[in-house]
Amino acid sequence: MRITNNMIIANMVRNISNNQQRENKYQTQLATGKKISVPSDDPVVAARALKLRTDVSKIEQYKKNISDAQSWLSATDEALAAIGKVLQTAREKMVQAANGTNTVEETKAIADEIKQLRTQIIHLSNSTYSGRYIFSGFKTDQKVMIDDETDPDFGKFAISVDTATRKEKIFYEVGVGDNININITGGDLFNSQDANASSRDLAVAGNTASMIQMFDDVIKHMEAGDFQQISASLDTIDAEIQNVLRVRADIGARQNRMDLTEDRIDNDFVNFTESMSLNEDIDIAETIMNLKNEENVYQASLAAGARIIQQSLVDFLH
Amino acid sequence: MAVGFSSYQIARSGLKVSERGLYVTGHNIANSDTVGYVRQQAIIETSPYQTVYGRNGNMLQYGLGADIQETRQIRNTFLDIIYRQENTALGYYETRSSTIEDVQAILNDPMGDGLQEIMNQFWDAWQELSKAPESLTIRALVRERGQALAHYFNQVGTQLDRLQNDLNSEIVVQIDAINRITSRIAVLNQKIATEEVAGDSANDYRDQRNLLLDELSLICDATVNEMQDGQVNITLGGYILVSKGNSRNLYVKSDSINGNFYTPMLEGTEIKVEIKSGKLKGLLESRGEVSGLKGSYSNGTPNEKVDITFAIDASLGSADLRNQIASYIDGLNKSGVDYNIRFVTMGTNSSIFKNTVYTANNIDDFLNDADLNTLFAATGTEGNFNDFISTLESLKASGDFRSDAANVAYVLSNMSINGNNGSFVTNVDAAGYINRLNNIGVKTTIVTDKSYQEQGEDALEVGWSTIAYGTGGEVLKMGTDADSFINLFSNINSNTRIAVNGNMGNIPTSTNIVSDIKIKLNSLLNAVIREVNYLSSTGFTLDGKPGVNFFKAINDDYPMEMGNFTLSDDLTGDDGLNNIVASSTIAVGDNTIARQIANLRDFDLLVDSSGKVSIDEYYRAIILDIGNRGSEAITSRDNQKVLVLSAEEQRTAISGVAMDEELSNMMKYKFAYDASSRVLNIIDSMIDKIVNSMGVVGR
Repeated sequence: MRITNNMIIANMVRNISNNQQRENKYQTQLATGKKISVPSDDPVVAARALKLRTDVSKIEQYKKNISDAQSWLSATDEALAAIGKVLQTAREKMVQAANGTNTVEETKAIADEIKQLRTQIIHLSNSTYSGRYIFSGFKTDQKVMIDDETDPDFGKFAISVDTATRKEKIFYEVGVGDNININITGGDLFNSQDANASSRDLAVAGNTASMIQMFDDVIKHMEAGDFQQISASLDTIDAEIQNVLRVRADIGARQNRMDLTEDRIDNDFVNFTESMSLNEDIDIAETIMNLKNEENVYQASLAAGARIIQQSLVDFLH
Repeated sequence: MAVGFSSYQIARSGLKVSERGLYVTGHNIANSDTVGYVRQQAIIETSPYQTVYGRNGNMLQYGLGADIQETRQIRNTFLDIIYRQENTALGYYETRSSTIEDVQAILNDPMGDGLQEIMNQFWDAWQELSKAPESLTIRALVRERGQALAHYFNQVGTQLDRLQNDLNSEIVVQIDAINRITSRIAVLNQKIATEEVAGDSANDYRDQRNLLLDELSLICDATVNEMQDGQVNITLGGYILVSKGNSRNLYVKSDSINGNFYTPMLEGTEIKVEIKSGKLKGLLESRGEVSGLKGSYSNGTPNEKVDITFAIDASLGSADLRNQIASYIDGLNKSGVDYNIRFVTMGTNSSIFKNTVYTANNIDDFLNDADLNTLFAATGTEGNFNDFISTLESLKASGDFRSDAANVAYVLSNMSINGNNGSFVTNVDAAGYINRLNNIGVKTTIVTDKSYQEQGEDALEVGWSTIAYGTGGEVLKMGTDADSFINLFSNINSNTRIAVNGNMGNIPTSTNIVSDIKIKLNSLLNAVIREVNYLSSTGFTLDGKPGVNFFKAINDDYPMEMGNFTLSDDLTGDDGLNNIVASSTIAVGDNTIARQIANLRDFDLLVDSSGKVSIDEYYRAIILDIGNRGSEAITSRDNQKVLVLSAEEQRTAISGVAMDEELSNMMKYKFAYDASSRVLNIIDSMIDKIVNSMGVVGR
């Protein structure tokens, strides 16, 4: 093949420019830490990067949801613990009052204490978590019981909370298609012993919750000094205590589930971040090696070019 | 032959050819860097010889020196052809790859914070809202993210539009370039013909013309033919652009009816010139070979059309059904699809209710129609599927179905396929029904009693599911009570919306770039917006008022798409935050709708070539597709570059000026010149001897 001076020069320029392009590629990779900068660099890596990034972003959101669910659940747990404690105290007082040696004055005094406990329960029924009433179902802006002591309806349900059709259960999403119910509805907790089966476990506005009714009855019996009835009420309060324990166990189980989900999602987070990194991040050592290699090639081609282009026959003609 | 004056002539011819050789060498050296220059060579031949008779009758031939035959170009026409072919393909792929680079920069995914990130944030905001639906802070966040989504998508839309317009103007520039080149070639044709008629070759004109042809080859796939007289004819797409000294221009037509995109046309005619390759084709495809009208489906506007046919076995009639159809229609209105809907009675006298096509404009007439009861209350008409298909076919034949709309039919029947009329539907019959339905493109969803899903009246008779699955429809279970009707119609509603999304999102493959991306992004966006709006409008605001749309179209005449959507006025007003819909009831802590909206990303909302996909998957497919097209264009471009370079290299190997060679030639001619002048000297001195020294012997 005939080689002309222009061919040599064009070839050299082209090769040097190719070298520079390759060097630039590795330099960009080192500067960004990523294998690709646009999808066309490697469409498969790009699509996978998009997926993994989305997955990671979803997982981050689920982590937030889980920790919010946990907060809500522990707020509920605390309220339940407090309610349980009040009920225990009430039971002790009732046992004390049921003793036939008490005078009516004495049981009346105990009744005053029980009244306080009842008020406390009513206030606890309106426990909030970050300003939201936790036992009010979807109506988180409304108190579940009327807790204004001047109100003649003090202690009655202020709102209806529908749980029978599972309508007022608040769900948080803690995974794709994985929802957890985080709230306990008022009726389930306070109205489990309702005599009327149709309203049992429901909060019906204007009705008195079975737990409050129990207090009302006990107070009435104490004020009347009716030991028999006080004693009989112990069964009712036991049932209420049992119910609170059941609900607490349920909350506990949900907390457990959240802890497990959190563990799993933490693992997922690590795994996905790892996959993401494997997919799109460069191996720095390898890239630096490549870059150095390209640098050498570049310098060699410059040196060779300088030598070839320098001379032609002109230099030797006189 | 004795020494005579003719010898001077011989020596002189030597001087002349050497001199001429030096001229050519000098010309070569001077033009060694001229673009398109092809090296020349002085072709030397011997002058006509002289024959003389020798003493003994021999004939002797004496040469009379040398002469220049021609100044020849050293060129290989075959390599020119190869070069131009590869160059055309290079122009095509260069344009494509650079457009895709632009598109990638606009989308800015996955390495930048592109649309995916904006969408993630949007869904995450709804997740947050689902945890505290009454929180104004989080409502503000949702609104902010909604605004960001609108802003970002609109911005991407604007940038794509701008890119498309730039490509469109570039087409004009290239057409002008073609015109400039062809007119110059026509002029050169004439010059070359004039010069060469005398036998000489017009080398430098030819160089110029070849350079122009090379330039032209980058732009379009013009065919070049060299005629006997040295002139070239150029044709493009079958139409002659240059013939001898005449050239014909192209012009661009921008049809105001079809929008403002340009089409290359042949001057003086209304003929569209078909370009198959080169930069120009690359530009046309990059922009999209579309009409360009705003609101045209080929240029990105999402197709929300759906034609719905309800076939109701009248014996089903019930108030529940009627109520649910009303709520179904309400759902259609809320989701904002462009629907045509017909109600057909099943049975031997299958007829279209009032022979009317209902749209969003007159659907209220239907719902308020007192005669409607006859549709639902009639008894005794037995389902006959065959007649129903005939009705559909006649609708199709008379053009009543819109050609670009999704076409769905819902058959409500509580009988077997042929209406329990005693005839037996075999597999062959069913296949016939399916073929007929597929021919007219109707996806048929069957609502039927469970007992007729898998089999007919007879246990061996084909059931409805065969028909439904054969046409791409579904089988839904017939309800009996109000609740199951509600479920049924919410299923039918989502079925319709998916049919619309499918029709919209499943875009035939094309080589267009920007218009394609616009179609896909708009389909995605439109599905997202419609679903969000649909869910929003089915719920309640924080104030307990009926839900309102989240997004609205800026211009109601067009569907919601990039550049044509924003937050609805209800959200941007004073109580705007309260109007974000998170609840399905009036209770403020109800997070149902917020959760459903947050979950939209995981539903298979759209349909693309791989089937039903979620929003994220659909977007991923867009990015994968643009990446694949990009990497294909870039690889092809690089390959073409190599091919062009190798053709160019072979060409310069033959035609380029090699300095060493020219210098050697220079020395050669110089020495030959020196030698010829020496010959002249010798002859001169011989003549001198004869003239001046003869007869003076002994003087």
